[in-house]
Amino acid sequence: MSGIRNVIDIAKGALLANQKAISVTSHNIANVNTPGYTRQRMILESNPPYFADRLKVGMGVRADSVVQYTDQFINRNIHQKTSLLKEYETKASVLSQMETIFNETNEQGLVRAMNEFWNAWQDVASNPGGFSERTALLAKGEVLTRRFQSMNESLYQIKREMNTNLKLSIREVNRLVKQIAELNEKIVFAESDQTAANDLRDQRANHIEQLSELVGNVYLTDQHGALTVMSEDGMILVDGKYYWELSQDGNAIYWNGIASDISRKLQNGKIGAWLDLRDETIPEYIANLDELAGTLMREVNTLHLAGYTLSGETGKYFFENFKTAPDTPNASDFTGAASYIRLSSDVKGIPANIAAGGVSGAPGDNENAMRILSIQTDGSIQIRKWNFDQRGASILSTLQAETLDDYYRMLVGEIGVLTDESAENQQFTQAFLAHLSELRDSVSGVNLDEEMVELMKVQRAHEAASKLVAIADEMLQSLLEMR
Amino acid sequence: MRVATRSFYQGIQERILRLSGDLKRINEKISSGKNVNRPSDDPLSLIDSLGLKASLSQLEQYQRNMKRGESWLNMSESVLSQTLQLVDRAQEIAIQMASDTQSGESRTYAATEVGHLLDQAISLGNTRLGGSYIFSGYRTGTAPFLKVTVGGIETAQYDGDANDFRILIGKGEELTVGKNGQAVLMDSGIFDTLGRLKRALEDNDRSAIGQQIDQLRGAQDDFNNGIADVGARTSRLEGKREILNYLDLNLKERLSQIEDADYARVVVELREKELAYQAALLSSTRIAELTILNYIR
Repeated sequence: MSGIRNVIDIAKGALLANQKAISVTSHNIANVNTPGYTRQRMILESNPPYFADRLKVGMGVRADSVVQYTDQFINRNIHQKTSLLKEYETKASVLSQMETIFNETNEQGLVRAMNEFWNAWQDVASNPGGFSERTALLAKGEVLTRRFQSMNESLYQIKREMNTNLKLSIREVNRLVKQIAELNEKIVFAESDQTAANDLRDQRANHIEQLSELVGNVYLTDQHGALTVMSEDGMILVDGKYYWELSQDGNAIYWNGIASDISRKLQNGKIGAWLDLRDETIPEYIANLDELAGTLMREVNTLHLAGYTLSGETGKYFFENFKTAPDTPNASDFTGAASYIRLSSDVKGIPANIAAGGVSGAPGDNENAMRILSIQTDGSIQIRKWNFDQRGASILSTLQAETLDDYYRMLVGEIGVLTDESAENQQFTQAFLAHLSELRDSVSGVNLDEEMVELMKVQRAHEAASKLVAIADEMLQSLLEMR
Repeated sequence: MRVATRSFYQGIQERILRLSGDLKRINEKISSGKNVNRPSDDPLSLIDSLGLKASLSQLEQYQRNMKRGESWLNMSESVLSQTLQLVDRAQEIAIQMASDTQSGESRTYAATEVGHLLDQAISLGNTRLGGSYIFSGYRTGTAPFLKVTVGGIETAQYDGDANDFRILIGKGEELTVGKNGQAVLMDSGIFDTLGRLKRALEDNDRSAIGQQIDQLRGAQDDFNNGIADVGARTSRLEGKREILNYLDLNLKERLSQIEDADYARVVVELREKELAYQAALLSSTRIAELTILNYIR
């Protein structure tokens, strides 16, 4: 009897095990497009044998465990590269916005406004007594100063956007670290019976990936399966079920409410990119544009003051004079010059007060106009080039001698190179990440064809086990029918 | 390698997106006709093209300056030649009237004519160009020559200054286009000489008439030199203009090489990408049809 009963037990176990296997396969099929899903497989194990006299007889099959196919090394790599990709992607998109401010390929650029300004001086030099030439010069001067002002305003606007973006993403970071801490707790609890909490782990990995998009991080797992998450230089965000939130106050970012700016510790990811742009790239461009505007004001005013107006007066400003230190812009600190630059009250609306004359201001005297217009081609103008490094912790300037045109051209060229570089970095990292994702999916991703074959395999096994029950039943029948 | 179903579809998406990005860029080049549509397209070319544009704008301005300079020079030349003709006529009169055969009456008539010549010379000296007196130095708003009588002799007084009017015809290259009236007219003594001649004719003073003949000869030399000088400056201007025209053409050509899209190349590129795009779509749909689901009931 024990032999036949054993067959029925084996068949029952096989039916149950295969049913479980089918549900695992179905789970895979159902999650074929779920982001971050790691395919699972039922591990079947044969039951230990029982001893029939001297013989060891097998006791059928049982479902041992459900395992995930995952490669931690690839995952870690993907998270790192995701941070980098998001950093480059964000930089490329903001830089291409900045690029449109400096886009000199169209006809409205600063270069054109400067060219027209100098040409207007030439026209005045050709006919120093002419009112229409003088009026045209004031109009071109107005256009030039407006251009400086609007470029400056656009740069500040992008800078302000960075802070808005940071505010939203910090809220997102806080949400993620909280969820990761909660999942840590759930996973430790669920795995206390030595079974893997596969789907919770998938969820947590997903959250880590989302966190990596925002800011670069490192993590390690403890023996209970809980994660410890830190920023790249070791500032702790999650440890087991505990988590620490970030908060923003103006330009500063605080950790755990402690009023000490930790923004320089946040690298990579979108947050790292926005901080780099906010504290390095954008202020550098603002400073250099200020420098250009301030130098133009200084050069033109110095000559203009010494010249004579049509009525023979001297000591008139062309651009509004600098403020006195400590207010800026002043004669040695051009901060804010690009928004401050405007026609002086001496000349605004009074074309006769343009000091075109060098000796008397008589209507044919063009000597000073000739001096001023030669600023355009003067390659010995002293102008500072600013360089913001380490998020503004290191601000250096180098004094250069070149024409104002060349200085500005260099700024345009640099933004082009910078944008191009970020776009290229982005493409490269994207290709790299795509490759890593493919590698990960080759391990962890679901292949439908494979699952279908698996399904057929399990189905056949289930069919066979059902048949086994029928056969055991027949055997019992024939025993019972014996007389 | 094992390929997950998801990464297969992702691959298709990425490839098609990349190709559509390429197509968009090519389309932008074709529709704008420009190779560089934003600084990052080609930063170095952009820096070059901005430099070229600034140079072109300067060149155009120099050409405009030169046009104005040319009218100054032409005007000076025409005033000087007319004044020279006027001196020639005075010379004729002086020689004729110095002869003893002339009566006092005819000398009186001649005196009137010389008086007209003096008025004409003064009015030529007060020639204006677009509202500016061209012989006043910097004082272009003031008539430079005023008829005065000094010691019973009619002459002109100079009210301009001693500056010359210059324009820019190249980087740091100035050209004097308006010499002041003192140098051009006053220094030749033309007004004094005409005044004295008139007085001598009125006084019927033969020897004084004879003295003015030499003076007029000196003035003729001065004006001839003056005309030659204007001519020299005009030809310098023309030479410069030719150089600028050549430069202008050259710069425009270089600018076009940098900026303008090479249509033949871009269109070929477009064909290539189009083909790749179609191929990607085709192979993607073909492969997507391959599934075991087609073979099991």
